[in-house]
Amino acid sequence: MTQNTEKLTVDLAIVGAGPAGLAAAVAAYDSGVRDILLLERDKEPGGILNQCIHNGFGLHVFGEELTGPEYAERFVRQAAERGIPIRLETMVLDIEPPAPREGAPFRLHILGPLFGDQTIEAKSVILAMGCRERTRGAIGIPGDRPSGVFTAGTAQRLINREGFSVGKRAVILGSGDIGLIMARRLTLEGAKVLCVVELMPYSNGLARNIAQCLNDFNVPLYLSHTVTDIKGHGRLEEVTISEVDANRVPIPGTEKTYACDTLLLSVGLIPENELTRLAGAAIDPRTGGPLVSEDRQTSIPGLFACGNVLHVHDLVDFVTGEAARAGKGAAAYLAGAGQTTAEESVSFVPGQGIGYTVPHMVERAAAPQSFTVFMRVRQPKPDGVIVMKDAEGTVIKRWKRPRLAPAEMEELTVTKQMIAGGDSYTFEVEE
Amino acid sequence: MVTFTCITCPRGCRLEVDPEKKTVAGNLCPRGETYGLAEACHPVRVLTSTVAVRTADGAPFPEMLPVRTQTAIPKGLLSPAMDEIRAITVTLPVKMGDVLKENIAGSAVALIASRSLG
Ligand SMILES: Cc1cc2nc3c(=O)[nH]c(=O)nc-3n(C[C@H](O)[C@H](O)[C@H](O)COP(=O)(O)OP(=O)(O)OC[C@H]3O[C@@H](n4cnc5c(N)ncnc54)[C@H](O)[C@@H]3O)c2cc1C
Ligand code: SF4
Repeated sequence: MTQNTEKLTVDLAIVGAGPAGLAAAVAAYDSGVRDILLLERDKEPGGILNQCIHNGFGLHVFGEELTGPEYAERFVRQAAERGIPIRLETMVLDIEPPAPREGAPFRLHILGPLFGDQTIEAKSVILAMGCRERTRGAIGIPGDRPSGVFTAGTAQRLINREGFSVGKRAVILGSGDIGLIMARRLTLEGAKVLCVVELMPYSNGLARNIAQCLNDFNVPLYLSHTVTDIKGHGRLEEVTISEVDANRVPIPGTEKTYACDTLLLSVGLIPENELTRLAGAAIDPRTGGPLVSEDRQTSIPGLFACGNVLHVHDLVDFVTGEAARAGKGAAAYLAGAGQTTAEESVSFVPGQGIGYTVPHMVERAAAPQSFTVFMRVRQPKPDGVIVMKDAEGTVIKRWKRPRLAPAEMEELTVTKQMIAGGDSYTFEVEE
Repeated sequence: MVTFTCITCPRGCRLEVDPEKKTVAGNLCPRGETYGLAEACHPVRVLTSTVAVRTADGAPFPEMLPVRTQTAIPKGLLSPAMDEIRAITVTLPVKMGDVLKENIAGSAVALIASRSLG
């Protein structure tokens, strides 16, 4: 891995060398960009995949089941084969958008132990900083503040990378995939997982993870339940859970207590967008990430975003596809293709039952023949239909799905013909 | 009739398997049929874990090495395989795909490194 700290101007700077940053770099290179620099705050590339040691990655991209580290290593290798430099232990602190004059660069303020602080100038920037976990503070669990309460991702890092054991008897709050994966990991490591507790009446994890992580090991899942008290002096000693009503309010008299030394929180991920805000890009309050056009360009020309920083993905394969799109987009921008103007773009609106769409718009002139629109539904529904309507309410297309669930991102293929007639289209779940 | 969730891909189809007639319903693709029939008589899983690492001169390395079984092993062997995995320490350098132990827990399947290290 090259660590050239002298070179301070580049065509394309990429912030974050997780799967999104790596795939974006490879795609930009393959589209003709040669002067690329990846900036990564960690000691090695690969992002969160380095701690996701379980299998189940890469079925779409490589046609085989890989573990997280294997998936990461394949992309690190692809970047290395192209000679794309990665500066490690390099934290990007701030991104200044270009000054309003022809050809002015983005300015990235960076900090690292090898070089102190420096400023990098780049003609184009791709944001690929990933996401972070919601913590106990973010959801406000009452009770004591003993040790033994971890976010599931922190516990995953401690066990899988650093080799620590986090505890012997655990309760897990939240049935997202990371919580489910950690229930199995703790069990295999010899701990007793007492239960997984989920606030919603359905799980936010993939059905396969409920099967292979909970059912395989007889770990009970309590839906419509939450943690209502935590007790412990120094170390966690006891957790109380309660059933909740339809308004998610705990029902008195339904309390159950568990003696345990560990509580894992798997209560959601938030895109890591401090830099995006500092750069001044418009943010979608629904996703917590920037607003983007189909090429993953933000409201600031030349600034792109992909992966979990844009919207939280549950499958890294989709991250790779999206990052490749951003890499190609940046290459087109650097080659001098036109910039988005509001008049030329077609917007996508999340309607009834749809949480958000990414992209938020597409440039009519630059739109590929067909492209993917990602979205999440708000409620689970067996045998659902998603419809795309124009501004007059005319149905453009219907997509039948055997099952809709908020945990499973939908990818819909939209063609240029479908958006030929209007400038705004709504996606809805049919009643 | 038994029901399973197919774990072969993220779709997670609900499978209805008749082990006598050897029929599977509910699968969206042929891999679901293979999985459903296997799950009814002989359930298998890929096991992933980590092993301790030491440097070439024998010092403990501050990071664990992620490992996995090369293919799926019988579900009943997961626990004995974990006992064997816990006893393993590998010496750097390691390459992704290196065989760390043949025939883990008598499964005839090898334990391999999930990444390169050192
Ligand atoms: C704990 C956890 C477990 C997950 N488990 C799975 C799973 O089992 N299967 C699955 O398919 N997906 C899983 N995901 C989703 C997973 O995040 C995505 O599949 C994928 O890793 C996202 O890629 P990314 O490159 O967008 O983000 P990341 O992998 O998070 O990479 C972002 C990179 O940016 C770097 N970075 C951030 N800010 C800066 C900065 N200011 N300066 C420099 N570098 C910076 C980070 O160090 C990191 O290396 C998990 C996510 C989390 C958080
Ligand atoms: S049956 Fe096919 S589509 Fe359905 S979960 Fe299994 S592998 Fe996936």
